[in-house]
Amino acid sequence: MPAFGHSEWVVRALGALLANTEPCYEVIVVDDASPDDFSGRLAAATENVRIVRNSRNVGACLSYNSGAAYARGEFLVFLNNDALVHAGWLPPLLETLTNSPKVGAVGPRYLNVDGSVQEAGALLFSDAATGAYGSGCPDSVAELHRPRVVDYVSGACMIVRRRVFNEIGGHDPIYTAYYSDVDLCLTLASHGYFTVYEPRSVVTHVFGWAERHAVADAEISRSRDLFAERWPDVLAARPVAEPDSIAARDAPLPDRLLVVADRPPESGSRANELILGLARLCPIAHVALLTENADPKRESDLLAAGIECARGGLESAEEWLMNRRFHYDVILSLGPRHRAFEQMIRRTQPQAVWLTDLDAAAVEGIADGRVADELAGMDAVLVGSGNAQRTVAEETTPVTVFLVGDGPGLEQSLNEVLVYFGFATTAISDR
Amino acid sequence: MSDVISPRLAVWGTFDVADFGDHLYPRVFEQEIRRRLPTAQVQAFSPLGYLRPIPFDGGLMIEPLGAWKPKRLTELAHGSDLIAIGGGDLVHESNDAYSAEYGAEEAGRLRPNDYFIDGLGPTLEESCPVAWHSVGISLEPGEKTAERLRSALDKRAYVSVRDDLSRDRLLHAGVTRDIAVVPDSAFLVDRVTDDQQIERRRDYLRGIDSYPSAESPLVVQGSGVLLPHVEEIAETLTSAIAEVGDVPIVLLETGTSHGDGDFAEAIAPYLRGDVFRMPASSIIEDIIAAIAYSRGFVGISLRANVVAFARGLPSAVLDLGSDYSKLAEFTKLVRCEDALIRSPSELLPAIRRVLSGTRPWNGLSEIASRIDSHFDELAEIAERSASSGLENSSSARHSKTAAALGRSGEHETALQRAFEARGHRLVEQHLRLGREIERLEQELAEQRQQYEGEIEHLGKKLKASVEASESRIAYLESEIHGLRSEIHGLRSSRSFRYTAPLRALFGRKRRLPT
Repeated sequence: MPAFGHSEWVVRALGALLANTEPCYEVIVVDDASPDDFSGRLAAATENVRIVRNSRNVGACLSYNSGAAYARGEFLVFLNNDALVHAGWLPPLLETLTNSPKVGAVGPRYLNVDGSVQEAGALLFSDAATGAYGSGCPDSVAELHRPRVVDYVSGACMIVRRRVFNEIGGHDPIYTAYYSDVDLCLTLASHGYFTVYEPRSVVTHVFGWAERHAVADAEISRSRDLFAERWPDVLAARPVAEPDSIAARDAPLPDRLLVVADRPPESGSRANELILGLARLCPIAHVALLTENADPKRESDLLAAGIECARGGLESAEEWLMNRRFHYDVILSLGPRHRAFEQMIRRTQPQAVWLTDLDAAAVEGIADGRVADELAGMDAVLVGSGNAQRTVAEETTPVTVFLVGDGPGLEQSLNEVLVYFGFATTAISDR
Repeated sequence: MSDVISPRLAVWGTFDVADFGDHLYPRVFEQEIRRRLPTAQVQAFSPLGYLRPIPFDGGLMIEPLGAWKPKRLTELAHGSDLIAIGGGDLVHESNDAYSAEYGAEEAGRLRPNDYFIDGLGPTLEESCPVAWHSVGISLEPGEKTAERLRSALDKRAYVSVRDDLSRDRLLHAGVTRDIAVVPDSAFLVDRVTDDQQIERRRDYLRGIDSYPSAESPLVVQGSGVLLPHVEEIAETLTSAIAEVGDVPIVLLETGTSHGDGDFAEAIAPYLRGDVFRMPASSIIEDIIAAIAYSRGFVGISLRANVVAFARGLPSAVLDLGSDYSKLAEFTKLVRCEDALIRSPSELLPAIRRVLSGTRPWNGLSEIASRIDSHFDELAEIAERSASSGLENSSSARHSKTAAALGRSGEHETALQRAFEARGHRLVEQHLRLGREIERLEQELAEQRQQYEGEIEHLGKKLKASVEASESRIAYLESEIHGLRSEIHGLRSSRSFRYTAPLRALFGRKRRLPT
């Protein structure tokens, strides 16, 4: 935690940390040459806190590096003195980081003091402007509780592997404060590590308290110019500017898949296994589910798996799809075909490949020709058994048929389908 | 893909000690093994491991070897396909030699010396091969240790030592098996760092005033054994630097276990000019950066000298009073024996040579190729060991291989088709972009047309206004001209001239006081 004076803020942030964090961890506060007797007062007000004092004021970025050099743990959390962690904030961050060696940094859901959302993952635009997804929205918005790969997370509370942090050389000292978090996450990405937004971890950020006092506008502008100069290729692949936040949100996710169904699938059903399998296999893909009917209880499970859930009839689907024109690579239709949805999707996603999954009942229908229509316009079909595969192959025109059997083999078969359509599945990205 | 062999390799050493060289080993080891066996699992082990985390470990999770017990050896054997012990000076007469690092009691409980010499023992090493990885033998082994070495190394899968002297000492101890001599893996430092990373660390050091911003400095490092020579070293540095102008000095500490901090503390008051001191919390990347951007290195640390050589920088090896055989072996290896300072009289010429910027022998690739062959050997042993753990039936192996090949073919076809699908998407996106560009161009043309019209209108208006003003000026000028002619005509008239005396008289009368 870098600090420049205002020990009362540091004590408050440390109080929240102590109250809401299970041992064991070490706390390192970097006193960035505070003008007052900051270190003395902080030492008097705290226990077991290592205070590292800079000989002169060098800014937050160098202070992060100074503090990190003293750290001994496997993970580093960079925490601002105006970031107040909530109960249970740390385990989800650690879980996300330890579940995949490819994850380099993780950030929490930031709330404003009034309880509204401050940032549910950060956004990056082509002119190097930054934004906060979900900013100002009520915290009850379900979509903001969905974990996903992001361009970056704000540095007010960010966890990274210490080894990876050192591997990239730490924060780039070229930035004094602003843009060092964005640069850090993009540097991680250039070394093959993802940055993940983890909404189960919550932090109230008294936004801008420290920055307003410490950094002038000119400094922000200087940092932005430096950043733009350093990352032209990344910025060229980002959307022009707000309000295109959907494009910015999904820009770091190269593969996108839309699942269309009547309603969110039941737990334990084949459809459910297929959707969850997609999310598991493609941690760096955007998977969305568009349904005509809602089931908030089921949706919460899907959101937790990183799947975006859109619903609410044709009208809202139209708007939803218009905001995502040319967005998806693959459309997977589950259950009976929705002609109305389909027209909309074909209009807004003409580039996408169409798949449909035929369950046993649907395949039986093929024998008397009722399902021939079901396969018209489809690029490929998923079936659950060898018999079904043969039946579809015999009865229909040249549609590619994939056998995706139920049970333990489902994920492996699904992986092959995804590879076929060029998705970077875990099987590929881990190689 | 599940049939791909993923050998499990362990590397044992003192990676839980705050020393620069110790922490380079596991990094280079992992990097080099993964280059050869991309799916390999590599894990470092040390007596205490992560139970005693230190900033120097850089976040690398080191498993504890734990207390030496037969049960623990069995666990370790079952967890690996190959165990590599090394590098560094790991062979001592007893476990007491590790008291400085772990404390006397812990050294007795952990028994690091037993782990590093005896390995798993001959029985377990039959199923889990153990290799010595560039181990240094710093002293002539006593008879008891010699006997242990003979027994332990006899059945070892592969034995390599760091230098010729280490090999000679083993031979002298009666070890009769093949012993490879493999230079210290720190020579491959550039393979575990990249320029961007090192540059960032240098900028960080500059930002906290621990490294000069302009001039390349001379990096100086010492340890506790050099304390009696501090004044001489400082004096020599000062006079040598005075000969070449202002060269800043950076005092570097390569760890906490050999008294580097005491040396830096002691020499600082004697030095003149710009003296910088690296933070005590430096991580290994900081040390590499400090050396990499210097004009040369003067110090006792073997690995710091190796890093300087690997970066093509001159160094002077401070071996005053220590007589470390590894330092002499290093200078011999890099063909720069005059860099070795063993008496105060050798200080000045060696430091002068560093300051003159004399580049070291250009033999890094030769040394690296020897280390590469060594890692090839380790990788082969690990792969063989992992394979023998799988089903031995050749028919099963062949059928699995055939199946794996078949699947690879399918994957390749699938990938080709997938890339075609991706191509369609890209075409669509380009078309969309094309349409967008067309729209923007049209918009731009319309706006240009609109503004051009406005500009033309304004231009005409302005031109008319200018013309009107010009004609008005011309009219006024002709008026002035006419009036001037009239005045001239008036002045030239006879009546004007004849009335001149009268006008003068009238003027004088007007000036008289009333």
